[in-house]
Amino acid sequence: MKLETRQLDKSFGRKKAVDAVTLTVDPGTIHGLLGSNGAGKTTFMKTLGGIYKPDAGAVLFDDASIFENPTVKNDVLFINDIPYFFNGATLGSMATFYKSMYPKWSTKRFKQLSEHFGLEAKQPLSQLSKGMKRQASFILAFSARPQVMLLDEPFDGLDPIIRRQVKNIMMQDIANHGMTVIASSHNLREMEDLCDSVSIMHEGRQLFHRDLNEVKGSHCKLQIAFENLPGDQFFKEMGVVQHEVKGRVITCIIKGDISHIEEKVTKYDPLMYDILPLTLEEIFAYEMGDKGYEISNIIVE
Amino acid sequence: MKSATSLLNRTLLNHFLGGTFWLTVLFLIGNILIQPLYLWIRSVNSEPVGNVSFALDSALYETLPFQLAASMIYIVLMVVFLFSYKNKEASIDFMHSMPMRRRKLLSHALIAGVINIIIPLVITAIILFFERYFLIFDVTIMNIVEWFFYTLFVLLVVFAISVFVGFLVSNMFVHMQMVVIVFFLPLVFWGLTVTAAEMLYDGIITYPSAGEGGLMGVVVNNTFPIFVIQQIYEGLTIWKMVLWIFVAVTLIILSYIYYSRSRSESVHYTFNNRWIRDILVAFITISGMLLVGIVLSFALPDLTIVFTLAFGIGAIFSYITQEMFFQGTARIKLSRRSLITTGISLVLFWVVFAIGWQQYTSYIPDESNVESVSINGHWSSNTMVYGNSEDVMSEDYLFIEDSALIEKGISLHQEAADGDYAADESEIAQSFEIVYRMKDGSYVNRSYDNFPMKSEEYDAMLQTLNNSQISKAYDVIYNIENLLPVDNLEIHGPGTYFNLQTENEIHEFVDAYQKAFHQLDSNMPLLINNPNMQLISASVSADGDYYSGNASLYNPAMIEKIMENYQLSDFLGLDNGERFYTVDLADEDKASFFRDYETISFDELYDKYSMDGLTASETEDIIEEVNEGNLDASGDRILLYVPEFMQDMSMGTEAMSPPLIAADEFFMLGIE
Repeated sequence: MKLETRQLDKSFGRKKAVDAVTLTVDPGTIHGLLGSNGAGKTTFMKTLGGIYKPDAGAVLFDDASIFENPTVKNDVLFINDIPYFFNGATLGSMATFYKSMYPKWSTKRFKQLSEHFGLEAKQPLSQLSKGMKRQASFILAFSARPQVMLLDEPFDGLDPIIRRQVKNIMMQDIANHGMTVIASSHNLREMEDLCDSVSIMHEGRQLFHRDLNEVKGSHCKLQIAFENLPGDQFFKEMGVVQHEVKGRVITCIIKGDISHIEEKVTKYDPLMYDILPLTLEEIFAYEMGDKGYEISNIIVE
Repeated sequence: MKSATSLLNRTLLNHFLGGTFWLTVLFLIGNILIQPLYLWIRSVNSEPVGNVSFALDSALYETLPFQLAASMIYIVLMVVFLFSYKNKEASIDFMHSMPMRRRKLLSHALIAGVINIIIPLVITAIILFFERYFLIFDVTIMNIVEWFFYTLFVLLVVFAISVFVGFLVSNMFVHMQMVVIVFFLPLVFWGLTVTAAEMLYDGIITYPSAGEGGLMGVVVNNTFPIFVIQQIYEGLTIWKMVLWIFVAVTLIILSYIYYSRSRSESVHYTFNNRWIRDILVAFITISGMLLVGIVLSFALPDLTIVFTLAFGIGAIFSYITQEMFFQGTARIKLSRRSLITTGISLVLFWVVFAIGWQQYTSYIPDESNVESVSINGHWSSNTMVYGNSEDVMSEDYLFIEDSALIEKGISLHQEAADGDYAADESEIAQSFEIVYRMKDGSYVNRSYDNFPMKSEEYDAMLQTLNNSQISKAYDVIYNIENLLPVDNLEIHGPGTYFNLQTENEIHEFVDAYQKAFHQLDSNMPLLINNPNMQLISASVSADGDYYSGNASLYNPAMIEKIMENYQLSDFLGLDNGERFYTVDLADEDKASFFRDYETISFDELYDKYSMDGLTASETEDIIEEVNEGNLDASGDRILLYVPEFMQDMSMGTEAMSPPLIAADEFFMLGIE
């Protein structure tokens, strides 16, 4: 399902939590929504999930509005940052509830996942640890087989092994069923390995939205040391968009055709060089530096 | 097109039912304890109900008020728990993220609520159905059907109100408060307003002795929990029930509209609408201000500054208290908007209060619009009417159509309303109530306390009242018009009382009494009308209605009936009486004697009319004479005595001032 928001506004009283956010997420991709606490990520996610009604603008899944639209919601599943279960519920009773709600529910998948994660259907969920509750919520979500999964801080409380397993299952669903995932986080590094595209929110506004594959295919970071520093011709020929010189070492971001970068570099006879992919932080710094935003002010790890 | 079954999500329904299951089990147990078990105990341990009246003619309704009261509490709790999901961010987000419309979610919660109401009632009804074969008194199928549907009506209305109110707030505790507020705030607010007005203005009466249109009546009768209990005793008012059903249906429709438009993010606020909160805060602050102000004013001196301070402190006290309840914390945050709204409301309230009550108390009806008048004071203190729904009494009961009396009443009313009389503490103050029945069928009533007895207008009115018309108008037995619903008639004397229960006995006695009254009517003696001569009173019960008032001791039917049950001397408290005196009066002296009897002390009366103190043997003789039924209202011989219960009262009032008048100490009998 294609997700699209158009000039989305959502306010709490006089405070604008989401301010004119326009976003498009293609089917079968993972979109990371980044931002510090209070940036408006959760409000945005709840508006995407049809929980909040937009004050202005629209949230569309395959061009259909989600708010009060069960047909769309059948394929959209939202997992809150703190998973919610009914009082006294067990994994089994919650599964029964989900089964009655989501038409594509797979009991077979539920059993497989329960066994895989080692959770018993009859165990009261209130007795589980934070991480186990998170696993339970993923078991229920994956069993519902949604087309779109909205995950608010999805990996909080999961240990690295479980985290990897969850990501694997998610990737399988994306690959096999074209599932779309929108995951919010304040953890930049976690998102950059996972996401196809990211956007960064700050004070309700969308500061940044990029397709990471596109950025990574056309941008790279070059760290290069010279006996004698080259002239401006080097920066022009290499397609440098941003650079920093420390002694005889230049660190630069290069944009354009990066497939032949090595050939171009060797012509300048460097003492040594290294071509690296851009981290999310560097992409952000490159994109937003001119606008006066510093990543440390926006993302707090 | 979807089938009905596909529209109903059984899992969701079970979820709602499961959340209130144990509460519903408690409700069922409570119902069984209050109804089938109670009836069983009644049947096993006691005689059939007999002649005691029930609203809908069945023992089944004996505990219905308790059952309804408890059930209403259950409904409120059940609704609060049923909709508790919308009071927490996590749960409301979860439910609203599910693929279903809010109206479907609401429908499932409502269906669960209705099932929670109906199933326990049906089970109780089935138990009652089988139980009735083993009871020693009759409980018909129709009784059970009526009980079932009346209970269902009450509970569904409370359910609808509780559901709607729940959508105004996002907090369980405040939800419960709100239901109580919606049901009772109008009553409390109006009751306190009237009480404050009574304290600050003379002329206001909450419950008039006669007629309809008491200041509290409209609000009390339309407060739902009171209304449904009243109906058990007074019979069903179908149009009002239809109106309440309409209200319930409207509130459910509004709940759907409100819920579909509500915002999940409102969960962060206690109230979903700030203007509703501000209005409530204003009303509760005013109510609290009146309550605290009234209490403080009662205890403190009667000064304007004291009233102002008392009500001011009350306003601050209640504002802080209700904010604590609404915010759910003692550490409240004051809102400028709420403070301004409340401040403006307080000012508006006092402006409307002052203008409104000033106009109310100064209003005097035009004589040409008055059909009849009821004037009440100490002479009618026995009079009480409760219910008045069965048309038992004649329309003229307590009302007199005499134009001279209407004129004097209005004149006295004018004097009272003008406040021309001075509150002289050395004078004996009187309470004076006037009720007009207007030609358009409405009633106007006013009451003035501390009216000076020596007022010329008052005196003139008493003289006018002192005639045969008032005897007729105020005689509770004489005015019984419809005997059919009367199920009990009690006659009270100074010493004791007795009651007539069987239909025949009541009918025969009332018939004889009324015939004899007509015979006395042509020459009504003053003695009967003397304000202090209510030696006996009667009370009439009819299907939950209750009337009590004066009755004539000198009516031959009454004397005969008393003598069937008691010796007259015993009934009139002569046997254990003390201080017996007689006086012989010429007809021309009677008026002044009766007047003096109620205005001067016994010692003065004794000297002025050369009274004779009776010796023990003379007392015995006169008691014997009384026991032979030789009472005569128009006789020239008057017996004054202190019955036993008056001896106790006079002992307790020795230190009081002003000194007792003769009427306070002595009873008076006319003997042949």
